[in-house]
Amino acid sequence: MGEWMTVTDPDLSSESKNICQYTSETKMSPSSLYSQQVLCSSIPLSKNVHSFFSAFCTEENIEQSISYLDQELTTFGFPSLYEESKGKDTKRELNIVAVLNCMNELLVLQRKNLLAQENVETQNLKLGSDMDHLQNCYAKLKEQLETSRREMIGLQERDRQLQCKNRNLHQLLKNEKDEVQKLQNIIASRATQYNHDMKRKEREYNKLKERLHQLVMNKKDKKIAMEVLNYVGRADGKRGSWRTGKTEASFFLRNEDEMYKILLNDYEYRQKQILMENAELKKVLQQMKKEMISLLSPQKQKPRERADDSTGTVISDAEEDAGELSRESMWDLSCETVREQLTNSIRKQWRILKSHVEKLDNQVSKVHLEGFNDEDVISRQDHEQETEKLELEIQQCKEMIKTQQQLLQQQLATACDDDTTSLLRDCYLLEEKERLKEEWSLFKEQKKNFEKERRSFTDAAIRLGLEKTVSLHYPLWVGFLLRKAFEEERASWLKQQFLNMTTFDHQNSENMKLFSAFSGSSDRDSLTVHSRPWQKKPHGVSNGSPVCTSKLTKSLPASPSTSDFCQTRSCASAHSSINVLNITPEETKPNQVGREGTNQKWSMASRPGSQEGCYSGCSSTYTNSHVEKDDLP
Amino acid sequence: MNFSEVFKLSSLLCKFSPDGKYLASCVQYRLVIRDVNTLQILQLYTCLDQIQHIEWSADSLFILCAMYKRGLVQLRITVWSLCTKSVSYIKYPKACQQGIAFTRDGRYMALAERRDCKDHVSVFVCSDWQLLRHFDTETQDLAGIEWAPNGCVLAVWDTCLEYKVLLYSLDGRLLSAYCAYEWSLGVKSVAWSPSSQFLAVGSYDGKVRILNHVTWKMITEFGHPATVNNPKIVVYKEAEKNPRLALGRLAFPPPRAAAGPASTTESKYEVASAPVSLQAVKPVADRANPRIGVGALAFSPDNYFLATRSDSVPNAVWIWDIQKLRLFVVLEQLCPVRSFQWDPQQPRLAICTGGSKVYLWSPAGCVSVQVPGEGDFQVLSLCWHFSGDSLALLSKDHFCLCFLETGERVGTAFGRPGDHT
Repeated sequence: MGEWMTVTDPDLSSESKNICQYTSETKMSPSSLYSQQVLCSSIPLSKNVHSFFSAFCTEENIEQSISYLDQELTTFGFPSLYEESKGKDTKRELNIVAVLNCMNELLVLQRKNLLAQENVETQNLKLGSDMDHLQNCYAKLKEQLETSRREMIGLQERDRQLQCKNRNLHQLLKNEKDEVQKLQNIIASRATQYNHDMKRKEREYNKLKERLHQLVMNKKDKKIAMEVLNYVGRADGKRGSWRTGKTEASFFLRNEDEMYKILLNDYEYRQKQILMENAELKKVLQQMKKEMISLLSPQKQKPRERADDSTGTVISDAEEDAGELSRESMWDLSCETVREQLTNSIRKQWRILKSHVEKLDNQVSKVHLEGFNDEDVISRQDHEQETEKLELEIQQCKEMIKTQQQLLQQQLATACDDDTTSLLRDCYLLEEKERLKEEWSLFKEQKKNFEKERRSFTDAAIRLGLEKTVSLHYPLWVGFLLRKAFEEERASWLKQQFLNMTTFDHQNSENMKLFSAFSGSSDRDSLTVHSRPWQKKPHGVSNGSPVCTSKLTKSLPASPSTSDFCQTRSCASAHSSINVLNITPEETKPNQVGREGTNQKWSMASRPGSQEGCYSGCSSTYTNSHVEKDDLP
Repeated sequence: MNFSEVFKLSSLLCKFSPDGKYLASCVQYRLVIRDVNTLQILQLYTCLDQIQHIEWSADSLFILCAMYKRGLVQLRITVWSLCTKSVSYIKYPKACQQGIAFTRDGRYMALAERRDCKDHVSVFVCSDWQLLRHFDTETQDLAGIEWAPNGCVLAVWDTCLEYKVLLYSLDGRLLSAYCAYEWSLGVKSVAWSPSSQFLAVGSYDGKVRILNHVTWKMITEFGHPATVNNPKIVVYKEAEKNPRLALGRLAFPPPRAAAGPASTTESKYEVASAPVSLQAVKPVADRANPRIGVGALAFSPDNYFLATRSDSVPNAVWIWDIQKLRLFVVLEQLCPVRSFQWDPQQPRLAICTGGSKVYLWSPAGCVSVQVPGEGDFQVLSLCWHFSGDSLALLSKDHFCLCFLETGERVGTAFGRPGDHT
């Protein structure tokens, strides 16, 4: 045994390594996994096994091999290859069954391992690619980081430079300020120096002047001095006198008196002027006040009624004030109370006037805004309200249709569990046909009524259009703007009628006519909407298994003709019924219709050619509807 | 508009008597008194020397002629009585730009004095030359004094080195002191409005500041920029008119008049459109008395307008609307404005530029008038007769009277601004 062990050791160890690698695969690093993969893929298993056997067991050492294998297998928990020994001495026999079982188990194990290996490989690949991606990301981010870091450094540098500049500028500014201060000081010092020098010079000059004066006076030369030769006689013959000397004090007082008189006169004059100005201003104020009162008095009732602010009371105050101040005597009293009263009342009234003007301004602006619609009888707001209302109604109708459809589908779904039910259905159909005939006659009647109504509506609309008058009761009929809304309203109304009337039995083939008849006048969208029920119905009828369509009507995309409608109305749910068109009867096995299948069918349906076949069954009714549509106004 | 014949004149000495009856003019040492209406010589006096100054007495009965050459040194003010032998002396008068000022009614005289290197103002009663008030002023070097027309407020301004305007009441109280700015050159000219309501102060910064008489604070300031941007302001530009081109035919040989000096060619006013740049001179910085600042100011007699001249834009006269306190009209002449004077009776401004034309502006428009006569009559100065009917135009050697039609009013006599465009 010991020899064997040594001989087989490398292979065994490699195998065991494989196993242990497999078991610990999840914990292995990617690189080691990779190498493992390489190892595994490089050595095909079958070949490996073959070579193993050729080397391991020969003719001579079968016994040993078996015993070795038995030993090995038992250590791994497999049952022993030998049969249960009956006696101690008897040689144990090889249990073929056990061997085979072991082999099988080993093979299963091998297969499992291979599968696991495959999984691991794919996972490895995934992880590898993830790793790559992450590495790329990391590199990119690193780059980004680097660039941003560089940017930051650049910005910091710039900031630093700017700060430096700023500091320099500050320094310069300070220097300049210092300079200015210095210059001012210089100017001031120079000015004082100049003044000082001037004073010195002036003193010198004065001295010289004195000297000169003395010299001139000392000469006593009368010839040089100026003299009046001939005195002027006064008109009255008297000699005038200057009254100098002697009673200087009294003269001085007289002069003072005169001076003060002059000053007093001046001040009095100025006061008079100011008084006059004041009076003028008061007059203006008073006049303004009166005018304000007269202006505001017709308005005063309104503010009082509103009573939202104190304007009413203010006005009454103002009136009282006016009564008081209208007395002329009050005017000339320039006492403070009167002044205050006047200014206060003026202020109040001014406030009222201001608010009033503002109000008027607001009104004017409003009127201006509305001005455009004044020509039309119905304002835009009304239009919008009306259209909103209509849209709401349409929405409601659509929802109603939807719920009805859902209910119907549920009903149908429960009904068509089996193909065999189709047989039963035929019996029902007969019954229902009878019932439907009755209903159809009822329908026809109603249709006639509708036709009549419609005609009268259109007549009325035309008449109204000609007269350009609008009755408030029927705002829908007015103006071409409202025409569409009207039509929508009508359509929705018809729909409602339809839904109310019937239990929406798909087998009522005649419904179509009604719809097409009424939808003809409206645009394409409404035509497609209303032509749907009949398009759906012929399939059901022709195939004898209309139930099957129900499952497929789960909000499939609309066909090209309805796509416009979807854009405009955006209510695909209402059109779900049309999708029935696109499904051929063979494909309508409810359980097997997957997502892909429906998609395919839809794409097929978008081609007109594929639809033709479906249409053929109902071509007669279809054309019928066309004809009816053309008849409509 | 009529012109008298041209009379001889010297030293620009020509003055209407206060009562408007006479006209005194000097030719060398002769004094000629004429009748204003007939221009006939009423009296002819001959003096011993060349007359340097003449002055009418307030009652138009006397006239004073000054011959400084014959004078003697006087370091005081001497007041002689003409009817008595009395003589009064006033010491320490200050020799400055405008050191003496009489009130309009002649009742008081203010005199700037300088004693002990300090400025003082003395107010005298003119009837007996009593000193009424004496006070020192807060000035470095007083440059001028001027009474308000109502005689109750005295404006005192400092030398141009310092912007300072002081206002004193007649009784010597300091009413207010005004200083617009420091350091640079200050007040250049001062004018009271005839109503005593405003004091206009022109300064070296090219602005006129208007002070009011209630608070003595500045109401507004008028700048004198060399460009007028406001399209509301009418700018009249004097333009030379070429008569040959105007007539549209060429004479050969060209007439003498056309070939003559530019001053004899006619000129007219054109209304310049919105942004007008006026001709400005660059002040020479390194010389004393720079040609900057508002050098001349005059209120119209009705207080409505103020005419100013900025020395850095010498060709232009600014006329300001005092009611609205804004610029009203700018007149730009071809030559520097010598002087301007308001008509004493109505808002009418006469301007001369030293050329042979006289310019008249009124709110209705403006006109340029060629002074007729042989040769060049260069109008250096002008003075209005107090009635506003005539105007004396003075040149270096001659003078003439210009009669303005009394019958026709300004509006019709002068072209309206629209006529020129």
